[in-house]
Amino acid sequence: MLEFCVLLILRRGDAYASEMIARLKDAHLIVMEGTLYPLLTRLKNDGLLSYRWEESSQGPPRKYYSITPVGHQFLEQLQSSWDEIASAVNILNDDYHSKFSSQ
Amino acid sequence: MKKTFSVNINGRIYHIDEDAYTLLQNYLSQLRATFPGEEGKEILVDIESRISELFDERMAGGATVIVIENVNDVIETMGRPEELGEDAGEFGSPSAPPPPPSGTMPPPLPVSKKLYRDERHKVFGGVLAGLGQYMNWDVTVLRILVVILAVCTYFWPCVLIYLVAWLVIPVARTPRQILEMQGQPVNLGTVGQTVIDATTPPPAPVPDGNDFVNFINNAFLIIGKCILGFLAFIGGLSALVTGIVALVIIAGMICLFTADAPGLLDSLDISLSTPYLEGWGITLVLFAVALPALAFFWAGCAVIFKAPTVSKSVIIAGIVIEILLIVGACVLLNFESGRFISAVLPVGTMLPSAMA
Repeated sequence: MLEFCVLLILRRGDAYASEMIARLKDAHLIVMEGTLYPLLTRLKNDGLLSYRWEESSQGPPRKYYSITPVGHQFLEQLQSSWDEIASAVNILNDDYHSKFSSQ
Repeated sequence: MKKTFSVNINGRIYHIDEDAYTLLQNYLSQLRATFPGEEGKEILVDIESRISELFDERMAGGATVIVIENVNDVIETMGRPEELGEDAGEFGSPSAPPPPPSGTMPPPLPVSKKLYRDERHKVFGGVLAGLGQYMNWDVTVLRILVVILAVCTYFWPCVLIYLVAWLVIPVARTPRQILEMQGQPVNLGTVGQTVIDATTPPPAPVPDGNDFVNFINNAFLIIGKCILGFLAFIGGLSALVTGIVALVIIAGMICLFTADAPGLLDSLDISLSTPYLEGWGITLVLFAVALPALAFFWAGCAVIFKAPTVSKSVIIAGIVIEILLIVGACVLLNFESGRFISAVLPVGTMLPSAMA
């Protein structure tokens, strides 16, 4: 789930860890920042992500992550399965709401 | 007032309080244990760089030192090692739920206890207090048993064993050591609690409702203090007397040496060309004797009159000078006798060859 979110963030453009944390926080998604780092390292080792060092105007160089072609494929799979789940849940949810409002 | 350290996190320097440093170091070492291997190293580097960013945010407010609250905030933000470890265990399932919020603590693992001296509950050196923690015995019971044992064995064996134990068993200083001594799991909650405990003054002996136990404990403390004071007094007094006597003797020797110098040197003189070396050697011996005497004198003063104790570097310097003096004296005196021998030997060896 968090993987999906990370890939979604990176689809919009390369980012470094703190940027991703800020985005995830905006979406009220992340509870603990520490969970992100093992995830990123694992995605990178699985070949879904790659990274490069980039100098920053303040402070030490930052690790910018970007999606590899394999990562894009994986993201599409995730996207389709997510769409299925979401539509299924939405149908059931709408079902309940329509029933609820009709009563 | 607190001691601070300078630490380098991700290539940047931070000043950090001692307790905050201890907590942070424990946190990082636990993370290191949570994420093993090469992959773990990489994760640790990333996490450290994030910690430095978080510190930067805190420092932007104008603070110049990282305090323990900052570290606690960082730990709350990053997550506790056991929570992160759970996530690491769920690798491979893309739809893994986000880790549960803090508050769910894993059951404490059985932890092996380690034997330390407990200086917070000591009478003499905290040996029995530590041993009590180690064996899960009540310290008071242990003390009474040891006293009975000591009386039965005419004291000396127990005293010797106690002194050896005092020297051999390390004292529990850091929060980690205190937790290991108590057999509690070393995790962030307990470490943080112990750090806070350590920064506040040690609590008075807890009145646990049992007046008799308290009475016994207080009696042990008072008797222990009396014995320590008595020993310190005797030791200090004997050191003082030894020191004074040694100084007087040395002063006398120096007076004799300088007053009767020509005569003394004449009587010691072996060959006309070398009286000065011999004299220097004897002078060095005198200094070599005088230095420990002075040290004894000072130690006596320190115990009895509460004179300021000297620093470790002074003691080390004194020992070095003492060794140099002894070596110098040995070299000079041996040189002397060596020359004497080398001056005599050729004659002796030449004689038979000349005769033959």
